[in-house]
Formats: sequence, structure tokens, C-alpha cells
Amino acid sequence: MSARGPLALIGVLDGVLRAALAPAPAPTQAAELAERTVQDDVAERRFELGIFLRAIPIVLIVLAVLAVRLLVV
Amino acid sequence: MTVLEWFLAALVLCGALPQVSGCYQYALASVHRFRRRPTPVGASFPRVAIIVPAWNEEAVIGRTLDQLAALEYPAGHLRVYVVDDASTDATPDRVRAKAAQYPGLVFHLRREKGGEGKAHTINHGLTIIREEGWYEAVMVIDADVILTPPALRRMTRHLLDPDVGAVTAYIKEGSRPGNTVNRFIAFEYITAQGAARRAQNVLGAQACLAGGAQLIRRSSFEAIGGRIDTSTLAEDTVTTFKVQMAGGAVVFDPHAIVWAEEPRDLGGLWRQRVRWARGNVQVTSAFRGIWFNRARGGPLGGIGFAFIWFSIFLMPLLMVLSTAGLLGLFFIDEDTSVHVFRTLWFLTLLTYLFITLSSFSMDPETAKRCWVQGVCFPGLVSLAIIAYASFPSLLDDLLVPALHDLGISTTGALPTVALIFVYVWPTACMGFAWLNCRLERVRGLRWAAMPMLYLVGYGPLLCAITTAGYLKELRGADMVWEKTEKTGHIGAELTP
Repeated sequence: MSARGPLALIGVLDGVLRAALAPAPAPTQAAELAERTVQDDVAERRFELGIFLRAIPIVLIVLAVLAVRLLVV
Repeated sequence: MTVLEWFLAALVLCGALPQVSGCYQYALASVHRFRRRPTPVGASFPRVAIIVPAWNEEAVIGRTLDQLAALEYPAGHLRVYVVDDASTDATPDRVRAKAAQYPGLVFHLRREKGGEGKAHTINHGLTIIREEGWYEAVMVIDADVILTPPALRRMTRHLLDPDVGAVTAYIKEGSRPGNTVNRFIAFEYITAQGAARRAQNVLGAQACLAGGAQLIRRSSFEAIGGRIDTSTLAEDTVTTFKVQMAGGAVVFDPHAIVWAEEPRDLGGLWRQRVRWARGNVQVTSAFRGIWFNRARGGPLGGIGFAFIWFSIFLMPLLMVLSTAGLLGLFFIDEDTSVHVFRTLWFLTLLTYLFITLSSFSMDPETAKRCWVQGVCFPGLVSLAIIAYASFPSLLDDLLVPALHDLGISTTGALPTVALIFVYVWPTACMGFAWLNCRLERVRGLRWAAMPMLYLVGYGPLLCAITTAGYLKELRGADMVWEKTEKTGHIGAELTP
């Protein structure tokens, strides 16, 4: 640690004390955020499923180009 | 065909390996929904210490701290430590003001002797938070990045799984209004992050925790020594490898989005990526015992992971081998060389279609903004070669009459010269990309750099930069941390 380390630590402790004296957070905040995270999960799974489903026509397009090449050349 | 011709044909097809690897990654990414490590359903809010290394970041640090204060994360579970690396601008004042504005959240740690590089700066902060002992997970971010409000809680939920040691976010290019270079980078990140890291989730091995936003569980961090590597230019990749070798899984969360400001010109891009390329050489060498060796490397020792790593790592060499093979075939049997050339470039067409369309599907929002750069990613010259090689009869019907109309003869030396040009293009394009970066510095010709970028392609530019990085590393050049200049161009609409 540099020579400024202890001073920095004092700064940190100062901040911790200020935090301790600050008003306590609303007790429902964590529960509300947890609920939001669960809801996000549903949308995310749907999005990931969409990636899989959209890959099917993409593969078909690639196969169609391959077929055209084999027929034309 | 003789044995020599088969050998040369095999060399030519080496040029397709990076594209095949790209398709492999997109195929894995498309089954990410079913084959990744299950995302725990629920929320976890460990006490997170965010380390922000900062050197002369006055343009961005205030906004970064404001958006960290706006994260959707329980109050009292988050602390932000700005490690000011002896900044000489107004960074200290800005951070002190924010520390007063957000007591208990923002802390200013000042290094009086700076300039040793990002890893040393991060380690200074890590030493202090480890002495303090409050944190349950540590997150390292860049001073310019903007975490979307849900990003941190989406990342921390993975820590509900006790096997997960670290989580990385989806870094997206955030400059608004972005220029051409920014939009090429934005499209590149769909491939390099959105697709590649999903694929690595499926493989169970991550190549790199994004340097701009990486979350590490305390026990995993302590298991790797509680410090960031300072011996290479790729400290984030080293951390990623060490966490996994210590038994912790590393997970990419594609829905934890972090906006980052990326270089706005070719010179800045060149400096940044040369550093990354040199770091990759150092990592490949430092971990040489793990490749293709599951006993030593765990998930990193898998064949699939090594295939992805080395097809990118060796890309410049593969391009040169491919060109050499084609030229060799040309001098032995021109007809065979034409046949192999057409096969190679038709394969390129198929992989280009699959990768480009899949990129649009994987990140429609970015694709909407950058579809032109996505289409032009290989360069217009390469696209013309793809068209010519794949459907020669169609193009001959159009091109030959057009040349005749212009009074250009299509007999004599011209067809041979044209053929050799397209044969050497996969290698020559790297030289043109290098020249284009020089062109950007020439007063009066700077305007031509962007049209040239579309012609030569962004992919070849990355290949050229990688080559330059390797040469610099082979020369044993000094490991100087050339910081990417941040000017605060991340769009206001992206900030909370």
C-alpha cells in the first residue's frame, strides 16, 4: 500500500460512518427488486427462445443459396 | 490431383477456418436458451464493492458516478471506490464532490504516484477494500462505462449458484451520435460479445471477463490471490482464466447491458487493439499447458474452446497460408486453382450469410443502427469477390460487356492479373487496411479513410491490427498502457 493508503482508509471509514448515520433504506426495496428480477427472467427466456426460432429461417436461407449455386453452376 | 495439389488445396481451405469457427459460435449461441448453465430464478444482493480506476477522467467520471448511484440495487449493499491514479485534471475535485453528494456510496482513493497502468491502479483499490473486509463481491468497471439500471442486479443473481465465481456483462458501443468507426465496433460487439460469449456459456468456458464490467465473488477472488495480474497487457483475460482454473464458473449475462465509449478514429482503434492482440499472445503463452488438456485446463482445455481461440488467434497466419496455397496451385494447375478458389469463396458466402443474418437476429436494436456496417463488414472488395466466385456466369454476363463498352479488352494479361489479385486479396487486404490507417493521418486525405474502410473492410482491419500486435510482441516492445481517450460521447438517452 502506498503512503496514502492509511489516509485513504480514513476516507473510507468516514464514508462508512456517514452511511451509518444516513436514513435506513426502505425494507421493501430488496423485495421489490427481487420481484423485478424474477419478472425480467421471463422476458429474457422469451428473447433467447426467439434467437433459436429465428435461426431456423436463417439456416433455410443458407440452404436455399447452396441449392441455387448447385443448380446454376 | 497430385498429393502436392491436395496439400495446397488444404492450405487454401485453412482460410475458411475462422469463418467456420464463427458459424460454430453462432450455432452454439442459438441454443443458448437450452444449453447454458441455468440462470437462478430469484435475486441475490451481495455487498458489492465497485472499483473504478480513473486517470484524467474529468469528462466522464461525474456522470459515471451519477449512474452508479441510480443502479437498481438495495441501498447499503453497494460501495463505489474511485481509484484516482494521480490525475492531473479536475478528476479529484469531481470525485470528491460526488463523495459528498453520495455519502456512504462513493469513496475517493488517491494514488500520488501513478502512471503504472490500469492493473496497478485496480490493485491499489483492491488492497484497501480487502483490508476493510466489507465486500462479498467485487466489480471492476471502466471510468467511462454506463451500467443500465438493472445490470448489476442481473449480474449478481448468478451468484445464487455457488459454483459461479464471476459474471461478465454485455458491453455495447454507446457513442451517440456515433460515427462510422463506432458503428463498425457496435456491430463487431454483437459477434465478439453477444454471440461469442453466449457460445462460451454453452461450452462452459469463458475467454474473457469484459474489462469494462466484471463481477467476481469474494471467495473466487481470494482464491486467485486477491490481486489483478500486472505481468501482461490482458489482465482481464488472466483473471478469467485463473478464476476458472480455481474451480469457479464464469458466466456471461447477455441481458446485463453496459454502454462503453469506444475509439472514434482508426488510430485510436489501432492502439487499443494492438494492446489487446499483444495481451492475447501473452495469455496464450502463459497458459500454454492448458490447451487441448482438460486435466489441466478444466473447461478451458476443451477442443471446442481451443478451436474458437486459435481460429481467431491464428487468423492472420491462416489468411497468408490460404493465399500461398492458391498461388501455388495457380502455378501448377490454373484450372484446379480456380476450382478451389471458387469453393473457398462460396463457403465464405454461406458463412457470411449465416453470421450476418444471425447477428441481426441476436441484437436487433444494434443491427437497426448498424446494418450497413454489418453488411460491409468484410469490405466491398471481398463482397465483389464473393459474388464473382460464387456465381461466375451471372457476373460474366454483366461485367464482360460492361468492360467492352468501356473499351477495355478482356483478353490478354488482364484476366490473369485479375485472378492473381483476387487470390492474394485475403492477405493484401491487411496491407491496404494498414495503409488506410496511415491515410487517416494525412492532412487533406483524411476524408478518404472512411470510404476506404468500406472498400477494404473492417474484418481485414482487425486482422491487420492483430498482425501488428503480434509483430510488436515478437519485437519485445515495451508494455506501455496506451489509454483510450474518453470524451464523454455516450448518448444522454442511454444514461438513466
